[in-house]
Amino acid sequence: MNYFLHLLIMISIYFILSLSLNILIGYSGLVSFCHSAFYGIGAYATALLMMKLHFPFTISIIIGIALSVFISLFPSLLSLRLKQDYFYLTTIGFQIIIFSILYNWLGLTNGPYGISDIPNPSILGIKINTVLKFALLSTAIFTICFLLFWGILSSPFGRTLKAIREDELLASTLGKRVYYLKITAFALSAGFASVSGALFACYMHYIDPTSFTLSESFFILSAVLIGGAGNIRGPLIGTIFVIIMPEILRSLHIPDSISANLRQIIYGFLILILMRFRPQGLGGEYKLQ
Amino acid sequence: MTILELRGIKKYFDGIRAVDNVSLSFKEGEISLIVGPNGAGKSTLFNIIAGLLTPDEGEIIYKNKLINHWKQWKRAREGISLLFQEARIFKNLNLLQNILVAFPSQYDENPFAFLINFGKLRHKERENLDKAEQLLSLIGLKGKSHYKAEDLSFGEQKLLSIACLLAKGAEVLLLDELTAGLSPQMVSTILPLLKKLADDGKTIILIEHNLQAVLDIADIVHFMNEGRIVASGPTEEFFQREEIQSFLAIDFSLSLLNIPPKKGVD
Repeated sequence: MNYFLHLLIMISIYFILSLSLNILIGYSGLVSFCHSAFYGIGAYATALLMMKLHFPFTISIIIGIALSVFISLFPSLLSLRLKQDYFYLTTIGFQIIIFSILYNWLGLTNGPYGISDIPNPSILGIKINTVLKFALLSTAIFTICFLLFWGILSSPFGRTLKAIREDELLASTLGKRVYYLKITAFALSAGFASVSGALFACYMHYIDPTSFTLSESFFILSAVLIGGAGNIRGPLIGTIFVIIMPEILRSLHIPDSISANLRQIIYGFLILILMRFRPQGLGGEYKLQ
Repeated sequence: MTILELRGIKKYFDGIRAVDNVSLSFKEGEISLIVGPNGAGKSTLFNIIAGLLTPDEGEIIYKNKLINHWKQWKRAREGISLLFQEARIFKNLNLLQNILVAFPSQYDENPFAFLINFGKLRHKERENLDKAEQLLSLIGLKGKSHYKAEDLSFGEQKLLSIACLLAKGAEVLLLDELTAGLSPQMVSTILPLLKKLADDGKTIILIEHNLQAVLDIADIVHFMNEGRIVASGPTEEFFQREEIQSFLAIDFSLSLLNIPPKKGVD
């Protein structure tokens, strides 16, 4: 039972991550390689605020979102006026910088040793101290995020982002503030990613920088690319696929040392096949250009 | 009253003058036609007015304000609209979405507008949806409102881009090769519409090779060659000039004798 609840929690966390990355890839046409940096910022901010300042979970999560949004302004202000290629490079650089900070700022993050004994969260006086309760919490938070994604992306804001994705120049001659809207989309995406980080930190009770690497950003990216971008359905399909796949390999009794590599090969191969034959992914509607 | 004025506009590309000391003024409710051979600098001039290019020298005055430093979006919001020469649309959006995006909206910059102003937003969306359907009827594409824009023919895409411009609304419309790719029937639908917009006080500036189509509605013609405005005048007498006739005969393969004198604006 706990195994399925664990899967449910991980799927909820990665649903939020892939849907938030979809705001960038599917709606704004921006492929970001630093999504796990904001995932990490949310995780570390929540863990540190709860442990060092004894802030409640809800306040910590909100401060984590604010911090991610604020920090997202650095790469976005630097690169979103430039061509796409520079944006890609900036996000890779930013991802490496955040990882280095988490890894080397021993006084704050405890560096490679990570932060352990992260407390269980409490919501409305209820201590979330069992896997079942955490599954309910993560599902509830995912549901709130999902409704927000749905509202945002089907509103004039989402439609305008899609227009910018299609043709920035045309959008600007129709009076749309392209630069401002792209910065907003990037900040929004970062804010949601940090919610996933907060859930992850409290669920695992332990975090270290290796959970928030460039590889992790590629992993989230692969969920969106495999499932497809540009609608809500695609990232959900992709997330289920990338979370369930390792479990299938495990059920085939393939040793972990082999299955980890095999999984990467399968994801990579699948992305190659999809890019060639179905660039909009399994369930998406936007073909990457 | 003059709404837009260009003063000594110059633009160079790699040292070559694309626009050379152009000074023009455009009045409210006037339809101006800019003609000239390919490479004369007409589209460059439009791009400068719309903010896509920055002039190397000169001033752009709009409603008595210097707007050289205004971004494209600011110019668009203040009423300067550009129709691109090529049919430019949002290809992966359907026709309705294309037009809905074009409407000026106070809600499209706030991701949480649907939470804060749900009632007003919903009302505005319904209103815009009705208007968008009317515009699609006007251009004869109502039956295709849920088609992806990329599935339309070139002519239909051009019509859609015109509908977007009408949805956006404007004080000054810069129309680059409006009639290119349109059927004669559609041209005869669109041109009276332009005339009506001008009668309502909108300023329309056309770049057009299909002179026969637009002569009846144009009030003023400017002839541009090698980046300069070489001749200007009211349409009635402009095409009777000998030097203009020789230009047209070479560059437009038109017999000037076939161009009737302007019938006058009624």
